[in-house]
Amino acid sequence: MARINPLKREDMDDEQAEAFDEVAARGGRLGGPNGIYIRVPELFRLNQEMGDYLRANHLNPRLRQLAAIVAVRRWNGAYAWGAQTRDALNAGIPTDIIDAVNARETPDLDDADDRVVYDAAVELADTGALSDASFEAAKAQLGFNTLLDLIATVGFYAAVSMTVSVFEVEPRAEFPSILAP
Amino acid sequence: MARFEPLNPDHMTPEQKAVCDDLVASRGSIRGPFPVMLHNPGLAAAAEKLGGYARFGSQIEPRLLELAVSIVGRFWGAHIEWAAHSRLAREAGIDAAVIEALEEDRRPDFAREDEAAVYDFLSSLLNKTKVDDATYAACLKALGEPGIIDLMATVTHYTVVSMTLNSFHMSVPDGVETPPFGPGRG
Repeated sequence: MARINPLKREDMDDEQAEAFDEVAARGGRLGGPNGIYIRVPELFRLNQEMGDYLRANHLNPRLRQLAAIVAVRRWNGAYAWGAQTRDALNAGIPTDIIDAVNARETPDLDDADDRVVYDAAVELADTGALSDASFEAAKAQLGFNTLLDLIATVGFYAAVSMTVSVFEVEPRAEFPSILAP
Repeated sequence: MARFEPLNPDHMTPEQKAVCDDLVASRGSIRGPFPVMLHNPGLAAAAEKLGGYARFGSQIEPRLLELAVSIVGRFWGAHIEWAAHSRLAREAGIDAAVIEALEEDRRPDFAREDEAAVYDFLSSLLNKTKVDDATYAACLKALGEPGIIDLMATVTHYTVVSMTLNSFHMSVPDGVETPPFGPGRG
């Protein structure tokens, strides 16, 4: 039982329904924290805009989803784990990588971009910062603009995890992976 | 030494210029994480809007809001965030002893129940990644349901801001003392 239930379309007032329909029409995100945020329509729209940016920026989908699942694992967001691992599979991240992250083991990554994103995401999600060596390695490998987006991605999905945990948003049955304890 | 170059206003793209104008209109200047975020103007624009809501549009009264931002900034060891918002918290009525305890990473001895409720909620969430029923209920009582939803938007925005400030070693303005922790945790 969630602490605040995701609001159903038929229970929304006019302002909530308008915001919901607008975001639904352009293929935006309606589950997880968004089902809570819709109770405050202005916040729902603004959070959606940040999410939209973070799904289309200098990071390619595979790197973005790798960063997202690392942040979600560190911050134990059960709903977010299901949603982000679904997107990770769609972005081409293999199941064994997802399972390793879930088990808090270092995944065996072949690609140099993947390795630097994984290392930076682990450090950022835990300490909120990057050592000199990590910062320089990430900047050299990814470029400045991609690193800037990576940092925002880790921060955002850490907070998405906190949000779904606080409100106890239930993962969906169809999600491909369940967060390990 | 910051790990980035501020943009030269004469060399901004039209998109960067537009976000810059919005920031100056809403906040008076380009501060906090925005000098670096402007390198990716879509990020700066989204953060300006979500942050504008968290800071100016939420249902949380300023005293509890600035306490919350101070707690988040202190947890992540974010210099500018702590320096700016611990001052705003004082101005909004948070006791100096509370700020001193937060700076020293101790649980403050709160005189007001609502401040203790917000602190205990955020402290549990940030340190244990979860909040038990009694702690949740106390925070809900202090803030109300829209308020506790707004609180999570505040945590979201300022977590992104903290990691950005820390990663790019953005320093406090001239004349402001550098906090005795961070950047970052531990």
